[in-house]
Amino acid sequence: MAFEYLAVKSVDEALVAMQKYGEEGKIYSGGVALSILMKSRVYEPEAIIDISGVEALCGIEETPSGGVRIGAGTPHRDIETSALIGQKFPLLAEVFRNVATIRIRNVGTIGGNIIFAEPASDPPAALLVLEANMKAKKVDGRERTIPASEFWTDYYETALGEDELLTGVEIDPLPGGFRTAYTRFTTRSKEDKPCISISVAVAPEEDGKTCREARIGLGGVEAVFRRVTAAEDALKGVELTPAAIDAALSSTLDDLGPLSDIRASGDYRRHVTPVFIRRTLLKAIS
Amino acid sequence: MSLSAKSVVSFTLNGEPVEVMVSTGRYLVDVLREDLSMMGTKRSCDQGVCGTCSVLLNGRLVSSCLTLAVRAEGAEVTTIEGLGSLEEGLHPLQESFASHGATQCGYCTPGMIVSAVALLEENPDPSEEEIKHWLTGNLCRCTGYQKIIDAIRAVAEGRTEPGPEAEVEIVKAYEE
Repeated sequence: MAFEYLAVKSVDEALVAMQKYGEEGKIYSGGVALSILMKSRVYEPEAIIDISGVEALCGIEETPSGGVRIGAGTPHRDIETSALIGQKFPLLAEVFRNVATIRIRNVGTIGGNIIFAEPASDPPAALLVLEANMKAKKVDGRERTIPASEFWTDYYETALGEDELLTGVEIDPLPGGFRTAYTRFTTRSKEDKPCISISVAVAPEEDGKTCREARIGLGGVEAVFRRVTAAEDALKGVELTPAAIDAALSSTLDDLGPLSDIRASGDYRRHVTPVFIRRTLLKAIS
Repeated sequence: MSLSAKSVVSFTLNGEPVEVMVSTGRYLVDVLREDLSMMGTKRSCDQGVCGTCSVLLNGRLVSSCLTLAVRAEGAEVTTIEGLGSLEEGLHPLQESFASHGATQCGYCTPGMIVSAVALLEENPDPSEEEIKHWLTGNLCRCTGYQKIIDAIRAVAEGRTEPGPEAEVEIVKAYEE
């Protein structure tokens, strides 16, 4: 296979190239998912638009709100090892430490991960509970903000348009009192993609055990990443004991539509998802 | 930079400048093996899972099967051949892998050693847990991982020979 290879140096150059090639031009950054898709002939693009040299797309900085902005082209490894992330969002540092392997984390980017939208993945559930905002720029220069809750739309599908370039991910600080935790469950090997990946943020009342607010993000379970809002609502005011959590989850996960794939059957996922949610909630408040 | 279907790519390979004509769709592992005769770097899964194609690109550990060869333009690429040889002296990790018997069929060994070089560069004294976490993406299907971990720990401790703790305790069941 051969294609035009364009190593662009700025966001504007990338947008010009995207306009020129349309669907025949593919954005290439870490090159992990896209290489695999090209090797399997899912994509045979006319042009590869390499954005890895665009400095404005790479890096982590503090925002005026006290949160962070992560450039779309920032490798997983840089997020995992960032002192700023470790201090402000330890959940993200832990999640990114567990993405794939060191070689993939060295090149694979946060933007590539969330756009690929592979269900068996860790970062999206964490970005959902942190209520991240995805920043995109259209080829005509207009900018758009897509909340994480609207970003993943279907199996391997996102709200990002063909004429839009993801430029970054912005995360505001969690309100006071929230504690976070993450559980990654694999059914084949340690380095496998997650069968189930759960991120939670819980704010207990002053007594330290009654749930004031809970956010629960699911990855790997269904075709689309989402928060289980019915369960979150049911947990409000509940004392976070194993029995009470199970009771709140038992009636609120009926709409779960679990995947059946090589990692687990749908029935299995339906059965163990509440168990892992409970364990993750308890880990967060312990 | 814009390259059409076939282009010349120049980079530094194990300290030597090289130029090679490549199709834009080719990956570094294939160019290393087929065009530059660097056969130490292996291609196995071809999708970034197994670790046999591990190389250092500007000092950073990558899967060369997921690295377009055009991405190497202007870069420094280090393969297992660049670490040491029998003629010019082995790298301590190569010595240590050999003396620990941390190799059997040898197919994963170059990737393991290149990965370990990157690990010790970043963390000269990794714990056993840290070594395991780092090597998660390097698969060995025959010799087992313990000797590999021992070989890396040995170099971190400044030696290449097995320590006394690596001696296998022989249980003479027949004397009971």
